[in-house]
Amino acid sequence: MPGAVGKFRDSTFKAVMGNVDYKSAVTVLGQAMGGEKKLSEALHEAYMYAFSMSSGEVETSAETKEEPVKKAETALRAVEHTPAADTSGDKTETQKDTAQKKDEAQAQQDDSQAYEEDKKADTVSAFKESQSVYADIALPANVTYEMPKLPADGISPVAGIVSSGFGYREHPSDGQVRFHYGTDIAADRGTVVSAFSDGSVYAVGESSTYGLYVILEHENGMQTMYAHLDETLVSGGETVTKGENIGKVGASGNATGPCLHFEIIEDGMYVNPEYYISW
Amino acid sequence: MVKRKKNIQSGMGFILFMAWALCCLGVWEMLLTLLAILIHESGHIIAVILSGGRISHAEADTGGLELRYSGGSMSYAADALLSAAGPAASLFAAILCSTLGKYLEFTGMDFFTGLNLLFFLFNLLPVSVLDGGKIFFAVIASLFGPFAAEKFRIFLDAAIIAALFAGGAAVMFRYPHNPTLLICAVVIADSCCKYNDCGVKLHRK
Repeated sequence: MPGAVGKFRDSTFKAVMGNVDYKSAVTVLGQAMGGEKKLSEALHEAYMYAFSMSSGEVETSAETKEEPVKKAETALRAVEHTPAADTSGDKTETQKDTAQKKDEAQAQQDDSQAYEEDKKADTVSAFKESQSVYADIALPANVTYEMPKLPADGISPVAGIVSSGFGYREHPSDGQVRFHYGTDIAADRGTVVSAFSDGSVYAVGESSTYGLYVILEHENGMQTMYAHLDETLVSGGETVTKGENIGKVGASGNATGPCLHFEIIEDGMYVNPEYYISW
Repeated sequence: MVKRKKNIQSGMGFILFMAWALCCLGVWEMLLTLLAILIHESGHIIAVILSGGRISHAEADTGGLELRYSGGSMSYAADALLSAAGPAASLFAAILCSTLGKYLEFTGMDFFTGLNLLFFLFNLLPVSVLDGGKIFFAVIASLFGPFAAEKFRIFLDAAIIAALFAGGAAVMFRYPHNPTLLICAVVIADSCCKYNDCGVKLHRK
């Protein structure tokens, strides 16, 4: 019964509130008051948070640096899988051998975990280093450069090349330094886009910035967004599985060419999608 | 003789509003919202006391806190100042928080600053249920008399509520599942119909 009530509340809340983020709308007004943002920009962002998508449509802008801004390019790869522990052995092994093999497997697993942690730290460090040229610009309130563990493993939604990464960048349309809340993956128009992981379709919509987009909701409330699509293949409320086709690559919205704009929101924070996908 | 007893009441509308804030914003933000409301209303209360009056009744509902006071100065200027005290308190709180935010690390400082700023701006809307409407009424009444002010008030209320409903419908059409403006329109229309004013209800006794 409590589960049913919770589901009813969640579906009703989603149906009523949709994609609004009042907290962020109010917060940017406070930031404008404190001088962290220009008033016009804050009003624009507040409008977008309150009346439109709460995510990357809102591109925070920053004053252009006086010194020439170095273009930061990263090509991050997901943490590589380590080979599974070799547990094959003699069928007539003794208990001692079994215990020894268990210990070795455990040690190997510990090493793998340590290796994974090191790789994770290196990956995060490399990304932060690439963003260091923008170190004097405040990070948006709902963004983290860390690499939190996601509730489920995912796959790259499309095979392609990262044309524009997560983080601060010079916007392709006007050269202004703005925060990019997702990763743009360039691919041929019409290429099928797949679901990052199991979940359900939270929203299908269209906006002047994102173009045609799909938002999926996954385990523990994690959300992923797929934008600039030419076509969507799912509708709201549908259940999808990892790898299932949900749309086709296009150049809708303010895309400068055919690409998929992919975002991951974990626990209310935008994270770098390039940490979690490989191609 | 009408007996008016001192009391503080809370209507279902206020409880619903706080529940909605809890859903949309979270526990901490809901508490900050409550604090911002208290700061705003404290501005009115302090102004009433400083003007020599006293609060005899307070009721919280969807559109805000309705205060009834007695005594104090009896003039349109006094009414305007008493109505302006609430937004002034919110503005003061916003400026104070934005200044303190530069020196103190406090989670939610920007949110609280923005909230007070929003209360300041929103309450200055020239709708009769809000402080801006009361200030507007007092100014027009002092210049052209209460009958002209009343006609202005009715016209302005209708125009603003109609604009909010139209805007709300446009937003719902443009951004599906976004009832933001519609909720504002319904709350303001409801308050206008129910009480004929809201926020600080300045009743001379």
